[in-house]
Amino acid sequence: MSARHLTPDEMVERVFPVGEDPAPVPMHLAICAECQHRVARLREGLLIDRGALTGIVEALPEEFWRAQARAVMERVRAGAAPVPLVPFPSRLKRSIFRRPALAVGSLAAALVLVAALSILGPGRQAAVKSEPALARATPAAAAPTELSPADRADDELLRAVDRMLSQDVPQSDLLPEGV
Amino acid sequence: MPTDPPTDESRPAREADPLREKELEQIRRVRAGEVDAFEYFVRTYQRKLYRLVLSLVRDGAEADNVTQESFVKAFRALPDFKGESSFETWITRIAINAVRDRARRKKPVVSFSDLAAAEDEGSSDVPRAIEPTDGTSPERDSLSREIRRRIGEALTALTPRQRAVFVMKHYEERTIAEIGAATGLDEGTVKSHLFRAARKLRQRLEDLR
Repeated sequence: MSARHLTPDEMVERVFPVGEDPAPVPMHLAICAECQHRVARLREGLLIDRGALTGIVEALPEEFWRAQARAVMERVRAGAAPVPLVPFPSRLKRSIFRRPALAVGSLAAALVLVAALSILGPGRQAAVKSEPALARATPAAAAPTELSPADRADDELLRAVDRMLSQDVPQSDLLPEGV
Repeated sequence: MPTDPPTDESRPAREADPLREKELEQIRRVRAGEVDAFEYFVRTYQRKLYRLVLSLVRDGAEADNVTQESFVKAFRALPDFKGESSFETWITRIAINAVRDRARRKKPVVSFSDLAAAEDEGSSDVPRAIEPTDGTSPERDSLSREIRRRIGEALTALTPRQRAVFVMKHYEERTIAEIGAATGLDEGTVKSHLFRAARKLRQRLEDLR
């Protein structure tokens, strides 16, 4: 008796042969119960899997096949047009409708951007550069009356948003116009 | 319920093949503008194609989509069908390419374990698989299910082409020549893919006892 058990490659070759002709049975396999068991388990797994897939298909009701054929023929008759791609704005609109949080998040991100631009805008950058001069300035120099028109508009926008958020308005009011 | 059509090899010579003649006639009708004649191909091959695709994608809804998509693609490409192979071989190739394209677009495919879990919960769109067990013991059944799950997982780890070749050989029991015709690969390449697939499976199933 050959003492060498089948290698994993030999075992797989027994169950999943590459060629079409049956491979000769190794002498060892004919007499080794352990190797026979291992090959049998693997073969059983394949057969069970194959049988289960066939079972799934055979268990499908006739209505499934009719519906599938009907769906294919409808697409074929309709010129087999592919599913039209939804234009980007509509897609965005649809996703915002489905997820209002996305709209609120987008609005918040936009506000942060506006605020950042307000702080780091050209006028502000100049102010930051001349920090010592600012430190020497009188309190009156920083009074709201001296804000530039652009800064004032930004300030008003931020206050308006603050008011809206503090009033607990419905999320739909926060959606951009036309959404 | 219609049965699966015979494969190319089991048919007699081309000239005397009534099935082939009928298919060519149906193709002529479709090309002449009789769109409804295409339903013949859908009804004849939908089961076989669906089973192949299901073996590859292992998800019922996905298999349905790919099967439908394959037929629609076949209809669109019918003017280019030269009739050198059978319609079955041709549509099989279309389906395999569709599976491969989907796998590229959407990774990973639904794993076999997901399908098995859905079956266990009875919530899948696909009817519960018929589990061929010997009924000797729950332990044995459980072990069989485990082996099946492991084989499924090992299959999903193969490349789409290796999986297609492997499934056609060991699940569909097609010949190397048929696989070559359906995949557009020469026989040597088919064998090479089979060998690589088997080797990968071996690595994944090495600890099975």
